[in-house]
Amino acid sequence: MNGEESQRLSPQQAGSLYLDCSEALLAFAWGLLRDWELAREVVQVTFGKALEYAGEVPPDARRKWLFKVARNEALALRRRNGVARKVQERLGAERRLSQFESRQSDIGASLLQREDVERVRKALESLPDAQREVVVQRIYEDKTFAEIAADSGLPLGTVLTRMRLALAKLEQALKST
Amino acid sequence: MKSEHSQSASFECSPALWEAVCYLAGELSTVEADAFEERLADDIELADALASAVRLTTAVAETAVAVPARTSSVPGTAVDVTPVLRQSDRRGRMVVAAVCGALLALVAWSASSHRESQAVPAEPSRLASDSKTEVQGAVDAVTQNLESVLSVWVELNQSREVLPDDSALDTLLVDASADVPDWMFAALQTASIGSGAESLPVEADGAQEGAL
Repeated sequence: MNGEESQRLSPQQAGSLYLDCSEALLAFAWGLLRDWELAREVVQVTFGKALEYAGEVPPDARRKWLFKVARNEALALRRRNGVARKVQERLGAERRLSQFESRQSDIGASLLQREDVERVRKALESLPDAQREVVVQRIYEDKTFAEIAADSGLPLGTVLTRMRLALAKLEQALKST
Repeated sequence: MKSEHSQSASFECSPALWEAVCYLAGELSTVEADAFEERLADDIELADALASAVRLTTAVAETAVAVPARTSSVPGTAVDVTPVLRQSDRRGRMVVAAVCGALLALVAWSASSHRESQAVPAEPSRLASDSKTEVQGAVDAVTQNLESVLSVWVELNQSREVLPDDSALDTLLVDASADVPDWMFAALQTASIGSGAESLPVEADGAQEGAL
């Protein structure tokens, strides 16, 4: 009984862990599943397990432990629900991270604050034209990098470099709170 | 490894984030994607990068309403979806105007027929009766057509597909009701007086309320 008790997180520990990690875990799970309902399910299951077992895990390793559990749960859920094919289609054939899917699934409300989006918008506007054009074509227009290179007559390496430069700036904008 | 990441961060995004973005965007082959997912089990930096990539691409996608896709080199400004709506408005108005024009011509014709029938008292009673029936039928037809005009109007307003948000919807519908021309209601009243159908304006009001 005492052993079981020691495995469990205290409510304060669980709450703190949830505040620290739930948002990132949700995004992480969505990255694997491309489905917000399933992603939320994974986060719930993960924190359910954390309540039961994370007490055994050293505090500084709990974040890594959570992501590992979430990853395993997500992949298991994907297999169970037979969504692997859909994910592969989305990864391969459709190649999309569509803003419309994003909007329909109401992620903005759950994952991002309005201020986050505003900061990214400003960063996007401040990008050099060439970089912004690659981001727009990649994310908004759903083109592959190869297609962007072909359409713009640029070497693929140039397109990739522009995207990486742009991502670095956008990432900084999203991180700065 | 970490210093390499931080060193490149000032110029380009980290390799982990880049890989995560490519994974999300479907730029990795199936084998690469599987390997990526395998590494997620133990690589917390990669897991964090995937979460960051999702948030980042989501944020960029969310700004789609603020940055015009594929325009130009001009930095994005606030979204303007009104051209799309206005185009739809214009088309709707043209259809309604055309239908209403035809109906007004019909109203005018039926009214003149009615006057003519009243101006010939010497006609045999059977012919007068036939004429009256004919006019009544025309007026009824006009009434029905006017009702259908209103329903077309309502449908046009209901079938708008580009609705940015609820407030925009409210604005649009208020605008749409304000755009119903006065002469349309005047035509309705004329038709209802001609046919003796007192309830028609009420129905028209009801249809408008339905549109709202």
